Amino acid sequence: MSNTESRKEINSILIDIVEKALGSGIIGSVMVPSRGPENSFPWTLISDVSALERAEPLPPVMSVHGAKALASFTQSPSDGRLLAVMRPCEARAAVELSKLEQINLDNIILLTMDCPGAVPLSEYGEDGTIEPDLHHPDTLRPLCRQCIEFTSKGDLCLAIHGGLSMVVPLTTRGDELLDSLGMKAESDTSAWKEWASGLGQEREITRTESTDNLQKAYNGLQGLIEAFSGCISCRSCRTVCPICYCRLCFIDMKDRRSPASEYLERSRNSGATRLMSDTLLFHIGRMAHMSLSCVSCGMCEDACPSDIPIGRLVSMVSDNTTELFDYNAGSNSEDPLPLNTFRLEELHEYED
Amino acid sequence: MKETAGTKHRSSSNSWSAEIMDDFEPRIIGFLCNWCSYAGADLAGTSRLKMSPNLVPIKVMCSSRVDPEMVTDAFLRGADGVLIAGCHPGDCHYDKGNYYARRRFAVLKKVVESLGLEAERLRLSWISASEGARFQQVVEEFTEKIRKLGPNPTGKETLL
Amino acid sequence: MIENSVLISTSSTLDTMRRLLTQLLENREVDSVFALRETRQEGRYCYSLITDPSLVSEVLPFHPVMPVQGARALSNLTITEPFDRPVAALLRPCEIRAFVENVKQSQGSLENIFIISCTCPGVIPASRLLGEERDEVLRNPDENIRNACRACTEFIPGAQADMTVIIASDKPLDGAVIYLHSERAVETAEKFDSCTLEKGPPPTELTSELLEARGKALKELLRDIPAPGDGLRSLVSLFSACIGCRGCREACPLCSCVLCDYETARTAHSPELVRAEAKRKGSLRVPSGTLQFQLGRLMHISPICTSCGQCSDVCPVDIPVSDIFIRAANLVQESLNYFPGRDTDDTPPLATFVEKELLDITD
Repeated sequence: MSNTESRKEINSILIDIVEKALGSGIIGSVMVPSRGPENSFPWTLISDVSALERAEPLPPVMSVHGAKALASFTQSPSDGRLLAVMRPCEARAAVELSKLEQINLDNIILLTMDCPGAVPLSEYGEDGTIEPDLHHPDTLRPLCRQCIEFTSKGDLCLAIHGGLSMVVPLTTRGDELLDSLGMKAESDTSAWKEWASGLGQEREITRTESTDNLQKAYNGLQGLIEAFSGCISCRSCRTVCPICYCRLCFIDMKDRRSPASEYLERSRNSGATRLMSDTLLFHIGRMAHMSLSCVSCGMCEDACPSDIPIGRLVSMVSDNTTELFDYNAGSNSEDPLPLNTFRLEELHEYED
Repeated sequence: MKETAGTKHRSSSNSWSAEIMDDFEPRIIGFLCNWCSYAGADLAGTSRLKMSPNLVPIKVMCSSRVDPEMVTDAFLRGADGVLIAGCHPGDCHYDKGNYYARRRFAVLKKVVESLGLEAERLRLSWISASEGARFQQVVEEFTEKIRKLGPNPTGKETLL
Repeated sequence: MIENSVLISTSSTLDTMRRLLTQLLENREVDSVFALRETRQEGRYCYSLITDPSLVSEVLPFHPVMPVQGARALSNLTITEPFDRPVAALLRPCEIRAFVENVKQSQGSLENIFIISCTCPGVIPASRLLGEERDEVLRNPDENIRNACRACTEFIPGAQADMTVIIASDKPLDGAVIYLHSERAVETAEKFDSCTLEKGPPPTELTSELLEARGKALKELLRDIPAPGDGLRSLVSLFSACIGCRGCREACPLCSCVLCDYETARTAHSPELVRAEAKRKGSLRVPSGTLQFQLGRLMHISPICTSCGQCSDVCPVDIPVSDIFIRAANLVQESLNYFPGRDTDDTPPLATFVEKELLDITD
């Protein structure tokens, strides 16, 4: 099966499910990407079945992160039941955002799929013919190449590997939806799980290699300075990040402004100071704020107009910070946010 | 069978194409200043002047209170026309508010023009408290004009 | 009489500029230099505040890139207090104009800034300097400049500049030609060795052909305004690929609000409203408000936009944002009779009015 066909197949199965659920009134609305003009794939909130004509649940690119789109209208509980079709990393971020009280998941069902990954926005460009291909990592965004959470997220997941072509329920909510759609079929998912663990292991290797390379290339302070030397302070990484939800970021606060004399002082210390200053403070500060909830979706890297490997860097840091608390962002909605809880006996190695 | 606007647009891929319908009733948002134009509207009412019911009045303390943001919000959410009405130049209750309002309106109008949007759907009129008849005339004229323009295509556009 | 005083040097412009800046720093005529440098990564540049004369050798004066709009960087430096000692700032004309607008809005101060500007040939989009085509692009800068630069007719700096380095000119120059506009500039030039001070023709005479070409390009850009009523469709198309990164706003030297109006709870569409709207239309793009944001920014910025093109440059999905802004700015500024960045004493256009004006848009 060619990759185009597999994405087409995933799309048509997903649309069938959505159509059935929406048409029968089991759900009131669905959030799904749709084909827009000029090869674009904006998210759409659809309540009319006929609008599903343009739906493309699994587009080749990620334009806006699904959790961010979802958060734009779900801070208060949804009136009717809402089905959100999204990639695994989007579903994970949605769970994180619900913990951060930016999404109320009460009436929302998250439907994911075996994600093939996405094509970088810059490469998709005008022609719009490149397809994400699981087996050809060079077609994928760098973060997708090393993604180990590519399946089995949300309430249900469409499995298309390991000989399956069915929706697997992952929560009671997912179970109920399948039940009411009359779609529940007993099936052996062991081959699918085997596929997932196989690809997971491959991806782990890629991820370790990539981290090693990053650490080599951008080691220490000088390395970081070099990594972010192309930063133009456009803050796109922050704005497109599903986890960075603050209206006003710490870096933009008035009380952080420094007088000209301080910049001169900094310049005198080393002969010259880079402007806009505070590039590293911003990026390290952002990592400190969001790395525990980072889902390695790669939106930041895709949006960076200066081609900084920022997604890989943040993801690498996130590996380290989440390990501290044995936390996996978005995997379990019951786990409290690591910084909102504590254990009496922990982290002794960080104190004396 | 005549298709209703709703079904036609939802299934159509070019939902921006405006259509003129016989039963089209324009929805016009009117930002009326408290001291002149709202009083003018009141006078039109108490004088029992007949006029189209298409204008939804919103009272503001001064025409300069109207942030262009409020106008674009109405415009993009499907208002067929937006009227800002205030005291005549020189008569502003706050002395000069309406002169500033006029500049802001000019920015709005030119921005909208530069984008090829329908600037005709936006109007700034000076109506004093004693001009009940003028209020009626502005509302009638503007409603007719909008009726001819047809529904604002933003009302059905799903990708704004 | 300073008018049209010009410093002429037989060595290259780059060399002359570096020597001039070194002299300024070594003689303590200025405390620091604000200029472009290449970073440690090839093809990536940054503005720097330089105090050590030995680092002037890294300065790339008027290298055809604009990593950050200079006004934004200068505003950052001077927003809480002005420089207390002189600094030499190398700025392009559109950066000066934007900074003048910043100053008017209390977002910076021109005090103690000695401005060295140039007749600006334009800058190359940053993305074009990241790939392999970089060397090729740099060899033919004129063919690769931003759209905004191609249509820029304000490439000669205004009254704020102390010096104007001739970079763009109709005919190639031998060596460096620098116009001096202030007493301080003349004093500096007089101390500068291996150069001659002369009277030259007004800089406009060196660039009349360029002005004509740019004027033509601007006219073409302005001609592309869609007919009334056709705009919605093209706007929706243009911004359908918008990823909402707000890079255009962050890069804009004039968008200086601490918290943008469009990040506030006041303008945010409530969840209930979005859901109701989606129900009414059958389908609705989320997050909603892409065009609302763009229109809002146009409303706020078009009266003072200096057409620098930075917004297009940072757009990761190549939306020609600056084309839209340049068109709007032209219409708006013409109707308000306002020229952004001309003079710090000009009142901002929306903070003033003329009693008898704009009569055609009211009734």
